[in-house]
Amino acid sequence: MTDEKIIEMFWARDERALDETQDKYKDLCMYVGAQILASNEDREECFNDLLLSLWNSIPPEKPKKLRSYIGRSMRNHALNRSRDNNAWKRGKNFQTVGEEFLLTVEDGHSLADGFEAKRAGEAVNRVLDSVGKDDRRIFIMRFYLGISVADISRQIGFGESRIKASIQRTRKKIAELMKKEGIII
Amino acid sequence: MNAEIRFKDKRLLEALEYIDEKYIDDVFDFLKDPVYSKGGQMKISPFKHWRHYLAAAACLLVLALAMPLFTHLPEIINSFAAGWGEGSEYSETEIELCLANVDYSIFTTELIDEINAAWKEYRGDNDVMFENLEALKYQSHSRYLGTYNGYLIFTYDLSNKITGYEQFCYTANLGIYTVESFAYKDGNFITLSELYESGNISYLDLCEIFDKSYEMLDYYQITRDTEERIKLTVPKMPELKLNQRIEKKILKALKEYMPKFHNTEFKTYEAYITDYYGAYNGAYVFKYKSPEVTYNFSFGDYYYETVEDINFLYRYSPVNRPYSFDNVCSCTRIYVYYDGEIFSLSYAYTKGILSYDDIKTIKNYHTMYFPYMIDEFLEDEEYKKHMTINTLN
Repeated sequence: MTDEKIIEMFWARDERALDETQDKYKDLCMYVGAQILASNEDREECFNDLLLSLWNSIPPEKPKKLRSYIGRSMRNHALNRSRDNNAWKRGKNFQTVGEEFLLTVEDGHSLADGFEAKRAGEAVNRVLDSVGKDDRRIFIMRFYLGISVADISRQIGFGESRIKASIQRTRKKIAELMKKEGIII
Repeated sequence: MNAEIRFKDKRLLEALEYIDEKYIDDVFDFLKDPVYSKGGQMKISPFKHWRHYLAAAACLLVLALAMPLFTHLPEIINSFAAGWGEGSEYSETEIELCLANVDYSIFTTELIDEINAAWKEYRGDNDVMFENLEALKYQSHSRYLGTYNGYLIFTYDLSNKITGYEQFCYTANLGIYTVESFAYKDGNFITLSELYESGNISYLDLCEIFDKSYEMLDYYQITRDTEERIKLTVPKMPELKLNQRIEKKILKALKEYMPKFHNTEFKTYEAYITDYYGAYNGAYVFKYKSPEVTYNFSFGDYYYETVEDINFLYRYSPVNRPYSFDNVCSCTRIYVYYDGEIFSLSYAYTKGILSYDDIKTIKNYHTMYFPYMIDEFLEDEEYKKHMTINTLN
């Protein structure tokens, strides 16, 4: 079933929309959740929370791209649960993602000092605009979804060193841009 | 990981909330083909339909019929290899190997001088590409990557000289940082981008150069001063050999302790002891590797562990590559087996299993096994701050 049809069903308050969403996107959501939460039960619960939040938010919302809307929501649910559980240490990958990202730090300041999330996010977007398709995918897979370097390597088909090099360079560019725009310092 | 870092993580993740939806969608689009298994691990399954099984069966049949051919396979490969030249079919394995076998024999002192003069003219400063003939093989900021269609290709790390991300440019959508790669011929330098655009090298050559330049990234970490220091600091220690009976005991204990150390949910464990650091009053000190742990440790490059004033710098190395400094592909850190249990090095010291002198001896072995893992990197406060691994018990 197409995404448009599923959204129409949500708007019509047709409960089959939930079944269709589950059939179509549960695997993706479980994969996104697995990068953040170690426990399968937690992931299942998050997915149920996600279905409920979709039911409550559509309508009034009408996502342009249902897949990314669902993926983003699942990620946020999983992150919230992870924080609630104080389960950072149990997550497979995310505990290091933050640390890796912090390495964009320069001149003894961390990105979190004087932090402006929106400006920082926009700067990240500008850099992602400027890099190649593969570099962009690698960055998002690593930092947004928290997928391990080994997994990214398997999926993209590059060696792990190339993946790391790509991450390193994108990070460096982000740091340079943020420094230039006064976001860090 | 302390609470402060967790707090910072949370704020950083907020910034990523603003990533453009089209990029996220592109990634999901990219991920849509593989099958997501129940546990969240992604598996790529070629068999989604009964016809795929049929096709696989047909392939097996063809292979079985072609079996006699395999007895002559070495000769066939050799005959192909004879015609294998530059710009031939791209193979990642081939490239990793050919990087190790870059031919430096064409270089003479005169050629180096000629290249340096051209480089000075091209860059308009006093930097040289290679200090001397020997520097060809170890110089960290510039490397020779091979000759393509008569052009000598070099990488040159300009990261300290060029600032601003906009100055990086791309070639053929490969993401090659052309400002870092240059081609030399007849006394002139041009960028790799210009070389490609002039049609003098193929796209496949470009791919090959791209891979080689990434190989070199590892090397950028090491300066010549570091090389000199390494020569002075590597100790000579007596050879150590681990008893097979003890090895079995350690591997048995690892099966029990690996989940605890690595917070994994893996059910099966394969482990190999890669480095042995000696026995100290019943405590056996070692490093090991395991596919599962490799998976878990594949973040970042360096980690360090401190015992009193002694630092152990660990480096993750994903594959056994020609230019990996710790090319035993170890899982990074040192562990201690004592009385059926496994401890981290620092915890074993805290518990009194190892003395300070033991730690010093272990450090000597570590320096001997991994000469590049000297304290050079620890002078960087950022590494100290962010790359400390938790003390595990």
